[in-house]
Amino acid sequence: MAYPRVTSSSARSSSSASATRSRLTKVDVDSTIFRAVSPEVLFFHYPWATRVWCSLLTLRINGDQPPKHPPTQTTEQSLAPIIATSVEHPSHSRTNMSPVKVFGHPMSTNVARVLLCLEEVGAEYELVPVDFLAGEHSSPQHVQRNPFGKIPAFQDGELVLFESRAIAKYILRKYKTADLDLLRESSGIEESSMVDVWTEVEAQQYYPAMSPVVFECIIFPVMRGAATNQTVVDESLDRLRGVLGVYEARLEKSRYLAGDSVSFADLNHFPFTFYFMATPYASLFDEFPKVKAWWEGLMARPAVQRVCKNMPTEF
Amino acid sequence: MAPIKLYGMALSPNVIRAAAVLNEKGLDFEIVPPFGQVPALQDGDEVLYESRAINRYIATKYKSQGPDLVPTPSAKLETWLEVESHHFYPAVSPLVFQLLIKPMLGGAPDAAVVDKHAADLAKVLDVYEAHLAKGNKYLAGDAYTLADANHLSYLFLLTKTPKAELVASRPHVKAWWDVISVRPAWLKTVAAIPFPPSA
Repeated sequence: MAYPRVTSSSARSSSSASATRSRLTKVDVDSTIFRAVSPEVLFFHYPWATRVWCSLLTLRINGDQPPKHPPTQTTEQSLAPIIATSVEHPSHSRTNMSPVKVFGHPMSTNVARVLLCLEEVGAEYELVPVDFLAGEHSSPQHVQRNPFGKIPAFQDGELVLFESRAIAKYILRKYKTADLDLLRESSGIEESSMVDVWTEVEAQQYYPAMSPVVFECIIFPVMRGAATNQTVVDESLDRLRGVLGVYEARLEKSRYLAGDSVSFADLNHFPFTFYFMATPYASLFDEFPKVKAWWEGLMARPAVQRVCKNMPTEF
Repeated sequence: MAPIKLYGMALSPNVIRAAAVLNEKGLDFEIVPPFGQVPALQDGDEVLYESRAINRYIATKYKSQGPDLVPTPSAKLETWLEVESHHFYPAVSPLVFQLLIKPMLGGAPDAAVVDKHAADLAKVLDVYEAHLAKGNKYLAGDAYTLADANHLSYLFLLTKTPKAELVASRPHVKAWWDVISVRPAWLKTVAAIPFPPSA
């Protein structure tokens, strides 16, 4: 069975006219400013870094260009518009299903993974912040949702889930249609197993090679004021070069990782690669033309663009 | 039907992970020396790698043969498959490497690395303990599934190290390990592992 190539939202714009919306629920902006976390590192032990990050995020979400110099002041009040900002969905509407809840912050890579799947299927959702600075991730309420005290957590009616890939699969199965089967489970085992292979490759090969570069170049310096460990960066880049060579060979044979149309396997690469492109080493991808074209194709997806809006690129 | 080929080193815990599920399904397979990425599996024309993807492929393709390791739909199964991959494995794998594999290669365990990962694994196993204490006989509920099977190889090797107490000291985790480790398919898998003779 051939899958339509969904390369733009025009493929779905002919369906329902009503836009579905998601809302960031109102939060208490008087106390702590900002809630975000990377998958393994708690960002916000350092209030000063939090304020810088927060101000950048404020400007980014509101669509302004960040100033050339970092702002010296951030006002908590500026957060209120962000929190109340609605994120537009494509016109492909799923209003017959009640909104699901995602607990976490859109900057977090694992939260972004889930949000991307929600956006791809056009589901209605509500994003509920988890206040790491106030220790909310360790609160009994959150630990009941995620026993590891991490984000994201997820709720659909009575069902509560954690682990971003399990949540993503739940979403992709629930909202699956004949035209939209990002797991390929209706296409037979040969196709679905390829999605599984490249999903595992992202988790076990790609991510371990790429993530130390992101941590060393962005997360540790911004969040802890730590100096970049260049040895770790260099070793990781070498390893990543090897991994990208395998990807280049794969993408010679098919347009996307698991076949000729996009799948969950490709989408899993988005969150960390997005941040990698904000490090000084983005040009590594220039050495691998097929990989680079594949990445640019992912970035051009409307669902990816919508998720990117809440992820900063300047630090 | 030609036997399934599992490419890899028979001592590798990731190869053993796949062997455990092949045995659970009662499938005919042979372990052959590897090419490139290990483990890799060849079943007819299909070639796969990544042991967890291989296991899911085997469990899905041979669903009606032997116990059903992927009963659907199960969000709980998916969750605990991910927990193995992203919480259990990152903590236990370096421990097993330092305490078992490195000495086999002639090196000495790095105490700082061991302590760090043992502490991480302890916290992870606390979550397992709470989960299994809530009336879950197995990770995804009442039946043995792929989520349990994917833990066998590293749990087994962990129990061969001084950090075996991480399991033994947690009653529900221990009870779960005691049950899954006596499954005939697992015993068959262990019997086939070519451990080097002790020095």
